[in-house]
Amino acid sequence: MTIIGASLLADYAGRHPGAKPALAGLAALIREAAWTCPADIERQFPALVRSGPPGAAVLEIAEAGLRVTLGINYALGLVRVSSVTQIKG
Amino acid sequence: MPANNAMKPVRTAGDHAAALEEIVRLFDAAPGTPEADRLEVLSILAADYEQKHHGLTPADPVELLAFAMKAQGRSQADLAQLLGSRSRASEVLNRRRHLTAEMVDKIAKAWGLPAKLLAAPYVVQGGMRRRAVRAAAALAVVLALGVSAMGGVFWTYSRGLPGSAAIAAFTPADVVRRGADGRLVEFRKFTPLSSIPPHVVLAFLAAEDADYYGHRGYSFAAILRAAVHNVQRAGTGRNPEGGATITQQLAKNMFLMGQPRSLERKVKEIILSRRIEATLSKDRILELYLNQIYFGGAAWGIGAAAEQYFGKQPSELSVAEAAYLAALPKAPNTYRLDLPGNVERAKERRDWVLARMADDGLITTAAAQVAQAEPLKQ
Repeated sequence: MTIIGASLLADYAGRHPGAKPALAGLAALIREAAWTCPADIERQFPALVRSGPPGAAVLEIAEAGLRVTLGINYALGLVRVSSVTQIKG
Repeated sequence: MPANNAMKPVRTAGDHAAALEEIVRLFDAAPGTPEADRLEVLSILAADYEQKHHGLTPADPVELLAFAMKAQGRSQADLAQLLGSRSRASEVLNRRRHLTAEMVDKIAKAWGLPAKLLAAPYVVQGGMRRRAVRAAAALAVVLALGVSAMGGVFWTYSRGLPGSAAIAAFTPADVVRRGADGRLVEFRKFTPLSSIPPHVVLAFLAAEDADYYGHRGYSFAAILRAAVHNVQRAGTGRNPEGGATITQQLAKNMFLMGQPRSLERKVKEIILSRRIEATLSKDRILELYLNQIYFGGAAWGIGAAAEQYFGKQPSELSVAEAAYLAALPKAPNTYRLDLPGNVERAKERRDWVLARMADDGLITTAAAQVAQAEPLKQ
């Protein structure tokens, strides 16, 4: 998949160095993925996927304390990082 | 922005922001439409810009594996089961060992992770130190095996060799033996060391074993030097050097005569040399050596050689004559004066011995020059 908005991941990692390994791992796996439907994401990240608005995937990485929201165009193989936010404790 | 607007490259932060804005607007474009085509191209340009200007340092295989395990809800126990060992899993996750190709293959197939990401190079903790420790351990094992093998070889070859009693009892005999035609074939005439002048003894030390009073029968440095020299001269047809000390030469002459050059003979020489040095004094060894070595023709020992070549007693030999006799044991038939064509080579070798004596401080340079000026004749 092609990631657009990866700058949000980099910016967040810059502010929260502890989250960098998880975000780098996430970005690497997304680039290598070939998702065709939401089920593919659930298969790949079963422990992270949370419910979200239609057309979006919400991944919660508890250990890094962050939530990543992705917009996905399956037909074109595009993943847009909509937001990276801290999970409120 | 209309979909048919000309496409602009994304070179600046402004271009990037504008591209993102348009991507958001077009993101749900249906495939096959001009909007989808534009979205696709814009996305590639924006992603390329981000990669260059906001690139996240790539995850290394351990970061990737750790993240993938969390994302898939797997534990270290799952990895241990997959790799067949708890310690292996722990070491991989704690960067104490690298993922092997077999591990990468197993993980990629079982958990659907890209093998190429897991196979990327990465650093493990103390990698250099661990490699150094492993190399040192391997070297120690090789050395231990080498020492054991060497010990086995020495033990095998030492069986049947004369012991201290036989060495101590050895006494050179006077021999005058003639062939059927009356020709002298073996001539031995024992001369005690006390009757051999110092300059004669020093000539032999300079020619054969300058470190004689410093070593304990053999010199690994000399053997190594000879081995290197032999390799350099391989294929020239010349006799190989043995790096033998005076004690080794005596061991060969006393107990190993007739045995061809071989590693076995060299090992036996070393074993016997150690026994000889442990049994006899240095002076007694030197005395036996001077009376036991072969000088060409029928002459065995310094007494017979002095008589055969110069018609003299050892005590009557000049420095030049002593140097000539000291030149002989290395290759008697090459330097014997009674064989035609040897005089030039013999003089060269004699003068080399004289030069060595001067270099070693055994005689003065002037004495060496005077002796070198002497013609070589019987």
